[in-house]
Amino acid sequence: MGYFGDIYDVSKSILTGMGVTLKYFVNPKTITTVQYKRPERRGEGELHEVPHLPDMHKGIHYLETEECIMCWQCANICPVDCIVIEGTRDGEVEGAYQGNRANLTRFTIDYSLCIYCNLCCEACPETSTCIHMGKEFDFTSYDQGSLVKNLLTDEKFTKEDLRFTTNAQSKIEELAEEKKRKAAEAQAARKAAAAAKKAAAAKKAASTPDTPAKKD
Amino acid sequence: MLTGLLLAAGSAGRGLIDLDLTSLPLVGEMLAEHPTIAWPLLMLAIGCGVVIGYITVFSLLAVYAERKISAFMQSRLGPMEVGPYGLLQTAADGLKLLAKEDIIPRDADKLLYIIGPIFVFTGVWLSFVVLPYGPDLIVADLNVGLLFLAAVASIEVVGVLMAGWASNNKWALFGTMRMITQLVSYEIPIGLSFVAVVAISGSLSMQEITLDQQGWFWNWYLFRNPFLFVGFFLYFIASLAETKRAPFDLPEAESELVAGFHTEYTGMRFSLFFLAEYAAMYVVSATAAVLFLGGWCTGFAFIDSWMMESAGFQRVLANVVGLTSITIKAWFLVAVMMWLRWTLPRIRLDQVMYVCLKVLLPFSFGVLVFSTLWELVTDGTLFGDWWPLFQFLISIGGFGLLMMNFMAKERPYDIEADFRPLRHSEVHAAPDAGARG
Amino acid sequence: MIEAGADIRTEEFLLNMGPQHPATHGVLRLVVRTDGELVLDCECHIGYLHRCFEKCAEGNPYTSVIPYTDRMDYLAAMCNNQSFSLAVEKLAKIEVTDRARWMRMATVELQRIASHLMAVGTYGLDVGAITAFLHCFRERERILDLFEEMSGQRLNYSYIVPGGVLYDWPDDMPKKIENFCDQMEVRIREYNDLLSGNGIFIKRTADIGVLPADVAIAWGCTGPVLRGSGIKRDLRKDRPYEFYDQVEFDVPVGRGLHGTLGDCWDRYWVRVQEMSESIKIIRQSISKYSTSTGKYLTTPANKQLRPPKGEAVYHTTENPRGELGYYVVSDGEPIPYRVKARAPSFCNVAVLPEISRGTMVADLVAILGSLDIVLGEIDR
Repeated sequence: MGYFGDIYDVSKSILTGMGVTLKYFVNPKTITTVQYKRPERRGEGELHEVPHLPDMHKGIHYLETEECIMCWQCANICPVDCIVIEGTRDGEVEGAYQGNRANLTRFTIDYSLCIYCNLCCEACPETSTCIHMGKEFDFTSYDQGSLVKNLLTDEKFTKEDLRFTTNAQSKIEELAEEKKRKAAEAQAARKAAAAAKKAAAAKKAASTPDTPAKKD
Repeated sequence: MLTGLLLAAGSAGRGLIDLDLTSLPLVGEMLAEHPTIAWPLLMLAIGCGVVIGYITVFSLLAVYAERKISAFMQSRLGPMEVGPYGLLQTAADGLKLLAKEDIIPRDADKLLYIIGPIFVFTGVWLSFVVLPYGPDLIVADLNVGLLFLAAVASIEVVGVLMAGWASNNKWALFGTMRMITQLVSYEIPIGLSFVAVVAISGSLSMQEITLDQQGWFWNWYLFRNPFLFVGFFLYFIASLAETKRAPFDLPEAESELVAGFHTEYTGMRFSLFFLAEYAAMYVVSATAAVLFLGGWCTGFAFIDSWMMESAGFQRVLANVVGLTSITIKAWFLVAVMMWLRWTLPRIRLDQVMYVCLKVLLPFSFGVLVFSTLWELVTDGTLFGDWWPLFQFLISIGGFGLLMMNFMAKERPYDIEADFRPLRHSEVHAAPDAGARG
Repeated sequence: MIEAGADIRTEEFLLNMGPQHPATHGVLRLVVRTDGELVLDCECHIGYLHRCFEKCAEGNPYTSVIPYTDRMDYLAAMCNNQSFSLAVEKLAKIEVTDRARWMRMATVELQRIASHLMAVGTYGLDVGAITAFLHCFRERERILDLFEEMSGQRLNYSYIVPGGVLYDWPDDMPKKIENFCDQMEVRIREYNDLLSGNGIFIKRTADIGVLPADVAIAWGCTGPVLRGSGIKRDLRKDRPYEFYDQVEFDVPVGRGLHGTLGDCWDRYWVRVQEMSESIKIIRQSISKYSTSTGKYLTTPANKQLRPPKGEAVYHTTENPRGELGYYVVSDGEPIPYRVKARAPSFCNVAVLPEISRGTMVADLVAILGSLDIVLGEIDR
């Protein structure tokens, strides 16, 4: 390829490339961009509806509060530890969210940490019925702190919520104490009963020595 | 009033530059002595304002056009948010630039840093003085118009050197050096193209060059002879480099030099560079239109003769027609520049020099020599009045042949041969692939 | 006054390229010693994106490490998932069904196309062709749409897990992938018209950054960088994992079509050709997938994996950027004892100073682009 051949080839290839761009320029059907509908431009009903999102889309989490059993599976498997669960299975806390088996005072996800890996939903023993991911994705805010979502109210985790959870903490501890005490009492009672039984059995054995007691 | 303004400007400038302002009151005295001079001065001021307004409006539109053109070429929508179809996007960007903080780096050479963009802008701005827009629409019909154009284009080099050096930034320095190398080298092929045209027109005045191309469009210098036809493309390529458009946009190659010589500039100073770049695009396109595409002539003999003979209100209309004609031609060339920019990769500095010194320079020199010879031999009327049409056909025929060659199926670089995609039918028809592994 | 013929000494210039620079593909910092436009020497400084992947992996259950592997090579997350999953499967002796394997192969090859599209596109951007970049991105977006339908994510999929894939495909997925393959073949031709065959592009990349085969081997380069130097080394052929021994495809190598063997254009061209080879693999995988049976996941995600104590496994796969290896040690606990990653970009970027000496600054950008590095993987 000599000097002129070079010039010829380069100009020919330039024209070929220009042909490609011209083809796109004159054909408006090739436009593939989809205009993003900003929240303020959406109608009332289509606030979180984006038509082209597939079913699998992983958006912001939702929680079926009634189903939650407070097993901490989701919080444990979370690679970034963004899930905080507080509550009790021991009794009722005033103002807490009443589930079928647990009383939740706090179930929050920090979206400044969350990586939307869906492992929490996979780990959920209720097989994605308790915690699951919705299709909402535009969860924006001006500061990092307000990116925490309270899954119990489906709103931002406010200061009031925080105050409530802190206050409820003592109640939860109280309930736990009470349960422990009750359990201890029950244990003690059981022990006492067992001991009494044993004693009774021993007494019985003592009275009838030919049949040794073999009960525990 | 004008003197007051000038004095005010002078005293404002005194803080920065130690100007000898003694001559300025002289203007006032002169004005008092010869009141007739006030009118031309006022006209000059208005003209300056009009040109600045024209540059701004053109830049706003050109930026919008560039965004939309690039978007459509890249199957995007382009700006859509501000205003209908994003029409106000560039205006919003301009406002943003105006409102931005003006930062002067601590280690910058302050004086040079400030006057650099002004120089760059002034160079382009002055070019508008000699561009004809209609039979009467020209700021100053200098008899050395083309020379003036080439001269003021060089002011930009000085401004860029000031800006890049004063920024005290390594990237800016790189960009500056590239820019200067490029601009200074490409003035030669541009100048040779000018000379080739001047050799035929016999005048350096832009208006006279335009008038020489009146009549049917085959009278345009583009079709004047086959060599000038080539000369037009050479000028166009060189002007791409002169305005640092792709593929010659190395001075501000964003993937290599961040932003080139204006890396450190913000706000209004940056927008001066920006305006200058787009205005330069317009200037070189309009110059190409004047030199090769008949300027404000429409390309139809009857319209052109009417434009020259009309008077009164019709004359105004004729000027409007001329303005429309040259604007369409210039915009078309600007659009081609954008088209090229969004298609081509950027070339390297040594290749820029190669293209200039080893391709454009000999070719444009050849164009100059052979087109002059052609003119001498044919004398413009080889076969009578229809000779221009013959020349037009020769140029177009040659171009058509070349294009047919270009449009041929095979690509210049043999790369398609590497592909043999497996079609769907082949996949199913293929024998058990597992055996082969 | 300078005497004619005297040695005009010019001053050297230390240029700091990055970590914030458009051409360094992330946060690579190059300290370049230049003489005017000539690069005398360049030095890579890495570590600006260090996120302690290996340490994080030691504190998380095997399944929870998968999202961390996504962030290694974020342009080829599927391949990273697959590589780690294969290592863990080998470690914990988990069976994977045929159907899941075909699904994995199709997704990984799609990911390879997506990654190469990014490489080709940004390479165009590096040399100044912006339209090619956006055209490549358009096709990549279509792949991401497919991935979103599979996994619900568009970049960090966490889709391939030990035991198969996390979710089943929708019913129309094979058809959609076929449609994409049909379109992609047309598009590759368009890229060739627009970029690969462009004279300016060839002039910019041919004969630049020549990496001879022995240097490539000595520096441990893998993937398209090595194949661009003419060495036919592809783990999919040489050490087949999954079902790569059951599909038919070629391994494209550089041939020095427009310059010296092993130049930037060869590396670029290997990537373009690999895209069309991947399309072949995808077509075969899809047709095998539709006839195979089995579950898509054998071990549920919430089941804790406890590989036997003292076991260690090193598994390598062919990432779009080269050999990606994961070394996983178990101590019988549900979390790995040690995870070590062998990142291909890390070795590939090391060769940059070697091949960029004596080139120009613009060439340095072109060479860096042709190595196609991902800083997420280098710094991990």
